[in-house]
Amino acid sequence: MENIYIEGHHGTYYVPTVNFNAETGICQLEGESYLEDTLSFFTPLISWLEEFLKTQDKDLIFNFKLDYYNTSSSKSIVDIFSLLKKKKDRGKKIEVNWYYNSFSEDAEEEVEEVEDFMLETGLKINLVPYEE
Amino acid sequence: MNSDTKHILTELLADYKTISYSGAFDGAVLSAFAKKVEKDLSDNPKLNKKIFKIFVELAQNIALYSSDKVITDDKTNFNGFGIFIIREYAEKFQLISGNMAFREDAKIAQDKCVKINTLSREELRDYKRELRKRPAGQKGGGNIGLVQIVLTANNYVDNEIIEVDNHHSFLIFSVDIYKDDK
Repeated sequence: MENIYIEGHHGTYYVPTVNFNAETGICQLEGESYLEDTLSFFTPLISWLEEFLKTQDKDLIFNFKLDYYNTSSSKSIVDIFSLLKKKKDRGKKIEVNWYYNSFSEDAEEEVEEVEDFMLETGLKINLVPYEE
Repeated sequence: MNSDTKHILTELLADYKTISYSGAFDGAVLSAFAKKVEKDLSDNPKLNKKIFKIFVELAQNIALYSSDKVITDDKTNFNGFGIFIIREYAEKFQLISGNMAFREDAKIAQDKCVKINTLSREELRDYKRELRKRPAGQKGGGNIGLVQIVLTANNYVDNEIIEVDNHHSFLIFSVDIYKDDK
């Protein structure tokens, strides 16, 4: 199974860095997400996760480190969490970590949003503070 | 831009403004505006980030939902046409967006605004989760952006509709972001 790597950048839109590694089972999404076509960006990522969880007998660790995402991206993030929750309920070993800058000016709002993701999907997400 | 939009725009821009734009809300415009808002608007990073987040949601509303559309340069898509203004006052920034909308859609947006403005923060979070579950494109199911704007601004969204003709209204959203809000 092939890995996915997309270098994040600030161009016309804000593209997050994607690093999905099928060998290690570690997936990372970081940076900022404000995209021209959110669905087109996230649909292949969700398909990759479905394929990984169907064909690979490995644990999955998903690390989120997003400084900013718009509401359109948040819908796709919920789709990822819903998929992971469904697979976890069927016995897959999945760990989800959400890294947030505890010194950031909007850390409180970010934590609130992750709590909403948990309430919305029923998925346990580990909130991991870091300092920058 | 049709003459009604031009007239309304002239009225809105009549007094002091910080930044304003009228035209198609394509990627390049969003990018240029976003960079300005995110980096240079004030010397308070938290305030700049708030304004940036609200700008993105309002601008995307225009790009997607304006009934006044222009075709993109590559002829593959359409971008909404509208106006955006940021005014600075001593104690606050005011963000205003405006675009032509079908009367029915403008009314839906207005009703949603009225509802959102009555909700507490916890109720807004509940409502946002509820809206996010709805399929994309469902009539009246969108506008999560408006809920997010109220949560981010920590203030209500003002809304005004100006009837233009039998089928169209000019839809205005306005939100104040106070400089001393924690």
